[in-house]
Amino acid sequence: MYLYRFEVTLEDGVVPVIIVAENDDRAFGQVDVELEKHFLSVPDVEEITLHEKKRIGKGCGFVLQPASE
Amino acid sequence: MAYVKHWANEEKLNATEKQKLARDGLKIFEDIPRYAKEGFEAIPKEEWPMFKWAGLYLQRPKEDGYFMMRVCVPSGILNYEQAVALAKISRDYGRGIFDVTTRQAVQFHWLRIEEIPDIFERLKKVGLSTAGACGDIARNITGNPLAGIDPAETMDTAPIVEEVFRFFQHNEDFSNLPRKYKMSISANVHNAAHAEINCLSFVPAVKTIDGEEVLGFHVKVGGGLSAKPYLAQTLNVFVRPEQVKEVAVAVTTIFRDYGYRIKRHRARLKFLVADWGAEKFTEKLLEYTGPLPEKGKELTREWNAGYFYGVHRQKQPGLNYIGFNVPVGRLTAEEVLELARISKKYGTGEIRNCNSQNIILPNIPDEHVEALLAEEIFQERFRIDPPQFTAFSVSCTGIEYCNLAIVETKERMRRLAEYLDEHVSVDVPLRLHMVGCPNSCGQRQIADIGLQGIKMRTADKRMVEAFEIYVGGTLDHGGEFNQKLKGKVDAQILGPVLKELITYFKEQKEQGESFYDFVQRVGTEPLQEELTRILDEITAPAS
Ligand code: SF4
Repeated sequence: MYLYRFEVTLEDGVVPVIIVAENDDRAFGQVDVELEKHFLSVPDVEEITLHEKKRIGKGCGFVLQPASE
Repeated sequence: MAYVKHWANEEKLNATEKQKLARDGLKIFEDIPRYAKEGFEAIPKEEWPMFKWAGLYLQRPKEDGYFMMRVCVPSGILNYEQAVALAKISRDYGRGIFDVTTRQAVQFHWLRIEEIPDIFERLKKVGLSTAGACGDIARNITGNPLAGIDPAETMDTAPIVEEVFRFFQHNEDFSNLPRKYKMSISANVHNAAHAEINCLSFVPAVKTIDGEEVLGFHVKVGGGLSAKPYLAQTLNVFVRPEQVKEVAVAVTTIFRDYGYRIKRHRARLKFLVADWGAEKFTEKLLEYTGPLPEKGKELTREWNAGYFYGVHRQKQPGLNYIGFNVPVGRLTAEEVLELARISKKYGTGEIRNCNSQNIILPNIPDEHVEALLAEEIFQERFRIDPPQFTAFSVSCTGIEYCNLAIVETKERMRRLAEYLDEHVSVDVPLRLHMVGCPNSCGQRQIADIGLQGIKMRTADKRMVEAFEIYVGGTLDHGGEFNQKLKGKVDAQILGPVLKELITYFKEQKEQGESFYDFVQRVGTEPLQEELTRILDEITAPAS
């Protein structure tokens, strides 16, 4: 399993999204699910970008810088 | 043990530290003959990480029991017998793969535990070893690959590197460091050993002492790239050649005794140096060494990034060294045997590894240069005049062996360089480094143009491999990391986009101006505007 760091570009800005998944494809799919859960009405997604992944051991995480453009 | 492990009673030590306390990493050498007899299954899983002290890593998937082995090559200098022995190990056990690393070492893949004792035996016969090639220990000491023959060195550092290397080899006083520990010792005035990205480095300097000009070294500590890059800081001391070992031992002792052991991710020397600063570190060093003169004048001039292509005069009259390009640092066993044969036929049989993953054949008399260059192996495969972009391109391992890679890199970088070689040329070298994730195995931060892989899903649900572009890195003038430009470049149009960007640089630059100097002069803004314009103009071809 991996911990993934995504940036999602919406009409009005970029939001970071963190996902746990076993491979890249599933991770992208999970981003959709999390966006649907998070927003009452899902905004238009211009782009979903995977920037980094880490193997999940006993612990791991990401520090989120303000999202880049 | 000649020292007290004062951290032994610290409750919050990380798990690796506890394991290292229970048994020194170097002890794994005692177990290997038994494991070799009993087979891979006999090795307890908890023991796997300790193999690093013997220069051995398990390849992925670890359960398959194949090892990667790294052999130390101080300063990158191999004599004929060593080169041949290494080539034969690769041929007999390692599926013929022979990699030159960015620390001038040699790496094999696909080794089984049963084969390790014979490999160790072969290495020992020619004075080579894997001890300290990996693990929390002093690693292979990098240096000037031209040591002893270099018109641009202030002194021959090979004997110094050898002395320091031998001191730390199999030395249990220094085999339990908080983390890996990288040292470089070089007197090449073009910073061939990349001083600023080592934990400890000695760089050429001069100082007038009692009216006499003394050649020696300045000391830099606390550099390293990894996920959080730092450039080394210079300490306020001047070190005479005969004091290098003493200072190296003192700095390593400080790291061993004061380095952080509770949090493994803050254990590298760079974190201690960042907390202490150069001044406090200098004071501490002097407690160990006694008084040392203050800094003199550093003799480092412009950085050569570890590249030595072409035929060059040695400091010995009538002799030459010849630098060849090794595409992505990978050779076959047969090629190494052929290079050794050629080197012996025309010279002394030496092969020297560069941290740019290229090689040098030294000691070739004037009258033999032409015949050597006419050898078949140098017509296509290993060039002294590789095309410009191929010559200066670097890539990390990428998706082939690395689980963290987000995109493919090695083959892509090779093709990209080829494309640029066909479509654009500039009057200065341009160093392109490609990495498949934010880690820095491909030293993205110090590239002229760094390319970092990402994966995108576009609004129309296309999955796209893409790159972010960083500009203006160097190790000149103490070093500077490159800066990110906004915009993501679809991997399919990376070639044309870079071609345009480099053409812009070519048109705007002054004659002979390096990419770094150009970025310093104009700033990143014009490059950003140009990249945005190019991206607007070029659209990805349908896939
Ligand atoms: S830079 Fe990232 S992708 Fe490349 S080898 Fe290192 S960890 Fe793997």
